[in-house]
Amino acid sequence: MKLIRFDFKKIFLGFAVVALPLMAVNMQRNSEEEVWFTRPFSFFGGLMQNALSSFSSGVRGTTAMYLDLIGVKTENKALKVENSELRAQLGAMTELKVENERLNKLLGFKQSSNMELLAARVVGKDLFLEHQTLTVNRGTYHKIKKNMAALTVGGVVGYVYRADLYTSQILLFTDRYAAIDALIQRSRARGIVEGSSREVATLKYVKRGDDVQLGDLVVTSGLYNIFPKGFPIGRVRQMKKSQYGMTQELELIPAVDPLNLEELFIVLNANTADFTPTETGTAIPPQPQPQANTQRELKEVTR
Amino acid sequence: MRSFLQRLSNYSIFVLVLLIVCALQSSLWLNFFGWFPAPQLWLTVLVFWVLYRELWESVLMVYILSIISSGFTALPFAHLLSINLLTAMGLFFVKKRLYWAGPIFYMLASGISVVFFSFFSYLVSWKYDLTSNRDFPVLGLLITLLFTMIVSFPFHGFFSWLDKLTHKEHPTEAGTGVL
Repeated sequence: MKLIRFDFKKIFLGFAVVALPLMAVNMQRNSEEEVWFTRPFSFFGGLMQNALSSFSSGVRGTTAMYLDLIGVKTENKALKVENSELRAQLGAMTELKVENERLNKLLGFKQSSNMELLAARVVGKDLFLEHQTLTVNRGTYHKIKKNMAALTVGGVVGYVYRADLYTSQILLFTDRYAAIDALIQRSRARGIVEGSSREVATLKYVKRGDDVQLGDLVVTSGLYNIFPKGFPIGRVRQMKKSQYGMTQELELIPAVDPLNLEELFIVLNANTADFTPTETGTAIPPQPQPQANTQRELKEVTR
Repeated sequence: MRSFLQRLSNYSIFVLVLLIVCALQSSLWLNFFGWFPAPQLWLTVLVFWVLYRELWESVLMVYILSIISSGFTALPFAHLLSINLLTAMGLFFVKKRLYWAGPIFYMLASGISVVFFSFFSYLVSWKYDLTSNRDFPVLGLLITLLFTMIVSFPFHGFFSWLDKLTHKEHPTEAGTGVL
């Protein structure tokens, strides 16, 4: 008679189901800590995202071209050949002009800034609804490193939290794992911007007595030269003061909608750039964010 | 030896499929539909392995799945592993009490897995995160659930075909496992 019988399968399964994950959770204290064995998969995953994005861009381009051709054909039936050709040319010219204007804004920003910027195209998003990350088609091969800033003409987007060889993942500043050192532009009150939900961020640890008003612009502090100094993050929408707390929390509306981005800049070197307004005006005034709609434009921007 | 190779080929194909569906969900969907909630394609793989594999194989797949999918998200690996294991165990619980063969149950299980995953991710976030998840997009979750159930129907046929291709036999009795 055996009083004690060991079922090693059960013991092993129990260990795998209960003990290992608990150990893993407890050992992984830092949420941004990267596990070495996930790197090859994230690398291949990034490559696949890149390939699928290119494929879908091609399909969209071909479909759009086909639809355009149908449009032109219909037009040709209704109008004389000469007139339709001229109109098509005129339309193409107008489209090019609009594209040029949009690209000029991006390129103008890049050229007029003393920062070292790298344009990147968004090729993927986070797998889960609760997190906000973007995958871009630039990686360590293009000199991107972890924690580099990501921004557009209109404001801050986030920062690189994982860089693979040909792709990188950007943690949007509205994600709850993100944190950026920030200032209120008008009063220079300091705090830390943390993500709280899809469309809102929170400026935390602002001293209770600091001068804050609704609509105040919150900008980057330029700490450690990761972000340029004075670059817009968002505007104060709501102020929360508890009865006895030492600090106050401010709810921010992002300066740019990071979910609608198709391309962005990675700051390779901020070169201590400062966007703080001077007496004569802002060094380089933040402009409205351009909307890029065509694949051609993306190619140009990210070239 | 032959059986081992068949099993290995089955596992490898599913790993490849998993990589592809993760990339499809995060990249191709974004290009066509933007930030509109996407179906949780990767979850259909987990559901298939929980329903049609022995327990130890399901647990193994949960580990593989967590490693792969952690490359596509900001969610830390340990959190993802815990959530996936809890989801798989929840599905096992459902399977033990309610099971019938065929794609309809698979669709239902896929829908349930979306709910389980969301619930457990909130639980883990609340327990371990400094800034716990406060965003609860109910509509987004419902859309995801619906889409996941819809896409799981063709996926069931595809995964079954993969099993047939690699001569992988399903457990003969529902709910069988070593536990």
